[in-house]
Formats: sequence, structure tokens, C-alpha cells
Amino acid sequence: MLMGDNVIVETRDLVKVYGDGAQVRALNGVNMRVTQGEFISVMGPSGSGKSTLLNMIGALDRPTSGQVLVGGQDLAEVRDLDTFRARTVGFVFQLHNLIPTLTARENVEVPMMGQPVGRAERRRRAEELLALVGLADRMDHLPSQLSGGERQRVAIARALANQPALVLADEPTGDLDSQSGTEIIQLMRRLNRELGTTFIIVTHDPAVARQTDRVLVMRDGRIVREHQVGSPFEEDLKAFRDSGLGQAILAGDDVARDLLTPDEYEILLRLLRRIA
Amino acid sequence: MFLKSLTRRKVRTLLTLFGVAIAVAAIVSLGALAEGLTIGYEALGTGSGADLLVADADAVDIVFSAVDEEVGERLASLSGVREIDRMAYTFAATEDVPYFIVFGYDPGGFAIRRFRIVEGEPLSDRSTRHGGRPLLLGKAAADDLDKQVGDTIRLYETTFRIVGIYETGTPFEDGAAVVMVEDAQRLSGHPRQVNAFLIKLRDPGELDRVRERIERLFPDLTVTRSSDFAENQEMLAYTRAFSWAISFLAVLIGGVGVMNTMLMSVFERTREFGTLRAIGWGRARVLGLVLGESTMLNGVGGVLGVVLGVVAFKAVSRSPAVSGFLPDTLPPALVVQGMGVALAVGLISGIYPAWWASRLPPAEAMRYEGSTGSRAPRVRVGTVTLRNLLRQPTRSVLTMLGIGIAITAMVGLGALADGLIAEMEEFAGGAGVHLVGMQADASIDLSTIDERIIHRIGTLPGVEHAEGFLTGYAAVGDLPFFVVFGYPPRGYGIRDFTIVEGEPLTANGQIILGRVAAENLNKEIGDTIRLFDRPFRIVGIYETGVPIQDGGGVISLRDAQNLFGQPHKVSFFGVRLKDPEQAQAVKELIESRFPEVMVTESTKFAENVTDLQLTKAGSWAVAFLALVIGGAGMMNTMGMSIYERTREIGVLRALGWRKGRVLGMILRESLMLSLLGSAGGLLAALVLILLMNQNPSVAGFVKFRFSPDLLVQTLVTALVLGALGGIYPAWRASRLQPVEALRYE
Ligand SMILES: Nc1ncnc2c1ncn2[C@@H]1O[C@H](COP(=O)(O)OP(=O)(O)OP(=O)(O)O)[C@@H](O)[C@H]1O
Ligand SMILES: [Mg+2]
Repeated sequence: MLMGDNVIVETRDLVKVYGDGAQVRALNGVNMRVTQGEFISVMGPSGSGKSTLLNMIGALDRPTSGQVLVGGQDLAEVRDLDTFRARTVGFVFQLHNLIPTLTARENVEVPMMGQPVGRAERRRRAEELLALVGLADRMDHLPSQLSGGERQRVAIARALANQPALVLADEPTGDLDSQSGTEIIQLMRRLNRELGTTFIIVTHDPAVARQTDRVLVMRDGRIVREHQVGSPFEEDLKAFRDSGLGQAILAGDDVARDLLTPDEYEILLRLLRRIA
Repeated sequence: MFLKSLTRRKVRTLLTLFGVAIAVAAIVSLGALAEGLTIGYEALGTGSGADLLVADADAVDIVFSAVDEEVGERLASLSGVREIDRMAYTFAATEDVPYFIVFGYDPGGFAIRRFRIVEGEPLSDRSTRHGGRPLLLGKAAADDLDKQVGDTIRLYETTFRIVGIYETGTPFEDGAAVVMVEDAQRLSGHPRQVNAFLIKLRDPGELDRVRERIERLFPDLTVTRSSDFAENQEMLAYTRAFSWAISFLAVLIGGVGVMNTMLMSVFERTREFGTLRAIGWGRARVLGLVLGESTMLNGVGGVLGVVLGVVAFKAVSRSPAVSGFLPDTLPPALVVQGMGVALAVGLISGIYPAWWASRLPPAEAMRYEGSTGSRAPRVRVGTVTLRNLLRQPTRSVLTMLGIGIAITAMVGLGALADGLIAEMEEFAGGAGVHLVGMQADASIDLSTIDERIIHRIGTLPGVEHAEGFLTGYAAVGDLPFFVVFGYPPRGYGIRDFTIVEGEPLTANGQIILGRVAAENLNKEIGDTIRLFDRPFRIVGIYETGVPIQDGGGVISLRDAQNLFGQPHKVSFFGVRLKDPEQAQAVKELIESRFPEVMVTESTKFAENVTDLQLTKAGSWAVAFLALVIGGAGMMNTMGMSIYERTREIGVLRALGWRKGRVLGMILRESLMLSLLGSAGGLLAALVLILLMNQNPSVAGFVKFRFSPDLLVQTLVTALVLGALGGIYPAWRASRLQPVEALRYE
């Protein structure tokens, strides 16, 4: 990613302190930038401040100090946070996030209520979005009649209802089995590519993080590490490239050919050339 | 968070307690009224020192009983009778007290002995000389009216002089006065008739024999043991029934509220019950736990209600107008009764929730995830508001039931009051009468005006004609309140009574009957009917369309004056004007000339009559009581509903819903709840009104009237209930911080 691209989210020395007596510094000086169209993940141990960070970016809560800029605008200066939440960001939560009495289609319509969208248009858009997430045949089902993965897809469709530039997802796969979890991430990835929507996904699952462009790792309210390609496998591969054997393979050394079968040699050579 | 949830439940608990407390307070304070009357009547019976009481068999209450004096002589001559005494009992209007109790006793009789003189001297024929009729005043009445021995007191038109102050220890008597029997007879308008004869026997063992003997000799009379006397008074039974009906209504609505609270409480604790069952608690134990909680809740509500009832009792017993009808101190039995009802309601309304909790399968209960989601019914139609109410169908139905009962009471009583008022308006507005007059400051039943005043009004400028008429009640056959109208046979007023069969009234000794009365009494033209043992020949049947008229009869004014012992008196009068435009001016003229009368335009008669206003106010008060309890239930339900949906409301806010939108959503729900409940209540009331109007003994007296006003009143009440019940919860919901709400488990 190049600096100077269209920056959609930027935080400057973001601090959030909870409580008056025993104070908790949930965020302790977070600086980050997310570019338009990025698909990134946030990882870190429990209590490290991931949800708090998302809440600040989504204007669900106000920081104790520091700034959050979304689309170049300082959230402290936004008058109408409700409209901001409705139009600029979309949320996907881990649990209980659909209204149980509303059908899938009506749930998708919820963020459009109160926005200048006509009833018919609202309905058309909800149907279009549900078709987009592959639920065209589940429109009139209640959440209790949907599987966990399907519910999460409805939630994603709902997050996209007002065509936001940014979708914030807090552990969207936390409650799903790995199969459905992968499908959800792949869906988000596809939407990211097709619609250009920026995604920030909080996750505990390395398999999820591996599929994102960039991983922010948090600890004690700070971003402590950042991988351009957030895959531990690639980390290992780099370490392997710098090792003697790796160098030997790249150099086409006979030592390497002796140690490995021809198939293994070919695969490793191709992998090392890709990251070189 | 914990503290927060605790206060939320505290509000729920408080609202529930409030409902129960009001119901119990109603039991206690209304019960005190019935109790006061019972004590008074017991004193009349047992306290008299008599063994037997002889009264009119047809009378609803001893105050309406009239037994001819000749009967007394024959009773006295019966073997086994040692002594006989007369008792008269009536109400009279005196300064500020419209229903002042007056007893008439013989100075030499045995019954007067229990009126212990604490000041002045006893009643005696001798005391008659010192200006004004002699009167003994009860101690409490003397204090309330601020009177002393030697002062005078006016009962209706007659001046009495207070010769002594007595005390018996019974508020009913101590708040009253005792006069000579003859004076009491004059006041009640029943000369030579007493309300009861009191009999002392030679040998109390002969009681049953003497009783049978008297009842055989006088089939129209009823003989009761003095100790059974109070129990045999129908009026007492009516008062009790009335107090029970109101208490029952309050308890019903309060009970629905308790059931609701308990049900919600066990729903919320589903997992807890699962765990208890899993660690070895049996069903019976869970059942006991929930029943215990519900009983405890009501026990506390009961205590609060008793306190409230005592406060109300104390406040009311200060007023001289009612103190005579209340016991000295609140009877402990009532406190026990109030508490008993509270506990019983707790137990009964706890049964279903307890059964529900005890029947939960432990494994499933432990997996239960809270009331939203998994419990949500699979309804996909209807408005969002309706679907939200259907999340907890039991709760919504119970809440609507509470509101519905309250609305039924409101509409039913309102229709009754409107029916009475409409009746009075028609009654006053007939025969081209422009102005209607009655005694100033008197209640409708007691209004009396001298005929001479009417004659003089007739000669005033602007007046074409003035005519008085008399009304009174008599017990006829099975009808306890048969209304008798006395009109001059050839006057204006009687023209209202359109004859549909037979002939108009022309002479004394005749009666024309209303159509409904004729049907109820099964009488035809040519039959005779007895009013106070005087025969009247039925010459015609009329119909006016006014229930109180069609359910009664008309006799000549002279007959009525004799019958009710009010010679030269009328109850009301109508005035025809030469120029109806001058109504206001003539009204002022009459009132300034004759301060003892009150005149209103006939179309405004009902508005100006205090009794009707009291009826209306009473119906409002009962309705208000019911609505307060129903409203508390409403607020409770909406409070619980948003409490359960905290997370959901957080989600909505996160998705960009404004506070106002959340507020609107909750308000819409509470309004719908209230409107649906009210619609149900209205429907029930309409059915009730229909049934009442078809019941002959009700229809002969009053026609329930459902006016558009009442519909508007219902609608407004429903909206107000919905808004009041919903506004606080809605405000709470809209104020939820999105982050906090989302974190809420
Ligand atoms: N409303 C709050 N009041 C007080 N403390 C809070 C509040 N919200 C969060 N915290 C604290 O702030 C810290 C960061 O919380 P946060 O929810 O952001 O963690 P997280 O990284 O999302 O953890 P997890 O992976 O478990 O979801 C924690 O120590 C938490 O206890
Ligand atoms: Mg979190």
C-alpha cells in the first residue's frame, strides 16, 4: 500500500479510559491508517482493546483523548452521529445481532428506516443485498429459522444497506464452525473486491487473519505489530528463505537437489521466488 | 450493571406492590363503611333490650319500613309479650349534613334507656314547653355540629331544642339525634306509623312460639330476633355488595398485575430453575419457592394497603357527614381480611407461574438463552409493533386484561351515570317547562318546597304558569324502589304521561302506571295496587320513554302528599314562561325572592343537581382507581419489555437509529397495548350494557346510555394510559448508550 492513497480511517494518539476509580486504559495511544478498499484484520489477546477500537471508529463511543478521522472528517466535529452511523459505517457483531421478530429482509431494511429511502426502494435494495450474499431464497425467514452462517450473512447484508464506505466486523466468525467461518470471510472478501467497501475485521482466528491484506496486532491498548501479509506461514517462509537451505534452493545449489525430492524442490523454489 | 438491574426490578416490584396496596386499601376503607353500618344496626337491634323486632316485610331497609300503630295494641295484648315499645327511624337534612340520622323513641319506653344522658336532661313530655320540640343529640354529633344543651337545631323546616346530650358508644347512634316518636313520624312523613315495634317477652324461651304467632296474625310483617336484626337488613347487604364489588374489581386488576410480575420473574430465571433442579431440588420445592415469593410480594403489598386504608379511614372519619356511618376505630377483622385477601391473591396468582417453573425440564432450562430469540414466536405478519407485543404473548394478554377490566368498569359506570342524567333531563324538560326548581341545598330525594311558594311564583311577572309535583318511593310487590309521582290531575305536568291504554288520571284514589311497571308487577287496568297499605285503582297505562317514569306510577298530588306525610309540600316545580328568552332573568328573580329554592333551566337541570354530579363523580372515582392499577401494570410491562431488549436497542442505535425513533417504537407498542386492551374492555362493557338494558328490573329504573362522549372518553383514556405507561420506559430506552447496551448480557 502506498501512502497518499485515499485514507478512509485514521486515528491519532487514541486513548480510551474506562471507570473512575480503578481505571482501565482500554486504548493507550493508538495510531493507525486504513486506506480506501483495504481488507484488514485486528488480532490480539482478550481485553487488548480491539472492540474498543472498533467502537471508537464506528462512533459508538467517544475517546478520552486523541482523534478519529473517518473519510478525512474528525468524529469529534460530527454533529449527527446517528446519520454517520447509518450511512458511513456498517456493523457486523458476533452475537444476537438480528432483531428476532423481523424477517431477514426486514432486518436488512432496519438501517434504511429513518433515512431518506422510500418504502419500495428500501425493499428492493434489501432483496438485492440478500441476493448478493446468497440468501435470495431466505428473504422471509425469521432469524430463528436460519443457520448461524446464514444469520451472519444477513448481518453483512444489513451492514451494507446504506452503501457505507466502511464495514466494522467484531468477531463475525466467533460463533461459527470453521467451514461457515471461512465462507463468511470469503463473502466479505468478494464484497470488498466487487463493491470496493473497506473492511476492518476483529478476529481471534489466524485462519481468518491470513485471508486479509494486513493484520494489526494489539496488546494492552496499543498496536504492537503490523504485517503486510498477515500469514504466519509467510513469516516461516521468509525465515526459511534466509536459512542456508533456502539460499541453496534459490541458488540452484546441488546440495538442495540432493536433500529434496524433485517435487519438493520445485514447490519450494516456486514459493521462495514468490516472496523474494 | 448489577445495581442497575436491581433497580429495574425494584421499579417492577414497587409498581406491583402499588397495585396490590390500592386494592387492599379499597377493601379496608370500604369494608369499614359496611362495618360501621352493621355495628349501628346491631345496636338498633340487640342494644334496644328487646327480644323481638317487628317490621314491614316488604321494606328493603328498616328506614323504609312503616307499620301502623294499631298493630302495636294488638301485639301488646298477645300472651307472652311483657312490654312493647315503638321505634321511628329516618334521615333529615340539617346544617351541612344531608343525611342526618334521627330516631324517634318514647320517653317512657325501655329502648330509650340505653341513650345515657351525659349532659342536660332526658326526653320527656314536659320539656315540650320550652320553645321548639325537644331533642337529644348524640355526643359525636354535638361535637361535629358544635352544639350544646339549650341550642336549637333545624331538621328540615322544624326547629328543635336540644335538651340533652347522650352517649351510647356506637358511632351510628352517637352521630345522630333522638326525638319523640311523633316528631320523627312528622319528619319522615309517616304519621301514625312506626318503623318497628320492639317486644320484650315474659319468657325468652317462648321466643319462637310468639314469633310464629305474630307472623301468622300479620302476614305483611316480619319478626326477627333482635340479635339477627342487622343480618336481615337488605340495605346492609347492598352496601356490603357494593363495597365488595369495588374491592373485587381492584383485587382482580391487582391480581393480574401480580401474576404478570411473577410470570416474568420466572421466565427470566429459567436457567436458575434448571440449575436448582439439576442439583437435586424437586418440583414441589420449586413450586413452593415461587409461591412463597408471590405470597411474600403480596404480603408486603397488603401491609402497605392496610396502612393506606387506615390513613383514608382516619381522613374520612373527620367529616361529620359520614362519621356516623363509620365505626370508631378500624375493626381488626378488616385488617385481617385485607391481609388475607392480599395473601390469597398472592397464592392464586402465583399458581400458574409456580407450576410453569416446576415443570421445566432441567437440561433444557439450563441451555435457555434468555427470553428473546428462542422464545420469539414464528410470526412474520402484522406490524413490527404487534410482533414485538407478541414476543411475550402471556404478558401482553395479562396487561391488556388489566386495562380491559378497568375500561369495562369505566364505560359501564359512565353509561349508568349518563343514563341517570339523561333521565333527569327528560324528566325535567317535559310539557314545555322552561325552568325547573327544587329546594336549595337539598338532595334530590329530600327536596321539599311549600306549595304556597309555588302559587306566588306563578304570579311573578314573565311567568305564565308554575306547578309543583311530589316524588317518593314505595315498596310494591318485588320492586324495592317503586317511584310514585304526585301531579295535579288536570295540570300541565301530567300531560307528559301519554296514556297508551285506559284513561288519564282524574281523581284521588286512582293511579296510572308506567308501561314497564305494569309489566313487572303484572297488573292491568281495573286492578288495584297498594302503596303503604292504601289501595289505588289503576285507570290507565302510560309511556314516556323515561325509565324512571315508565317504571313508576302517577297519583294525584293530594294523594301523594297524604301518602308521604307532606301536606302542602311538593318536591319540584316546573315553570312555563311567557317568553323563553327571559329564562335567565326570571330565574334570578325567583331565586332572589325565594332564597329557599334553586331554579335552573330545564335543559341544565342535571348539570346543577348535586346528586347526579356525585353519581358521575363516583363513577369517575371507581374508574380512576381501576385505571391507576391498570396503568401501573402497563408501565411494568413496558419496563420489562425494554429491559429484555436492551441489546437489541443497542444494535438499533449502532445501525444509526435516532433516539426519537427508538422512543417512537416503544411508545407505539405501549399505545397499541393500551388501545387493544381498551377495545376489548369497551366490547365487554357494550355487551354488559346490552344485557343490563334487557333486564326488566334494571330497565324499570334506569337505561344505561352509551353516548359518543363515552367513546371519546374511552379513546382518550386509552391513549393517556398508553402514553403514560410507555413514556418512561420509552425514555429510558432512548437514553441507553449504544456501547453499554451492546455489552449488556
Ligand atoms: N464499558 C466498559 N467499562 C469498563 N471497562 C471496559 C468497558 N469496555 C471495555 N472495558 C475494558 O477495556 C478493556 C478492553 O476491552 P475490549 O472489549 O476492547 O477488549 P477486546 O480486545 O475486544 O477483548 P475480547 O477479545 O475479549 O473481545 C478490557 O480490559 C475491558 O475490561
Ligand atoms: Mg471484543
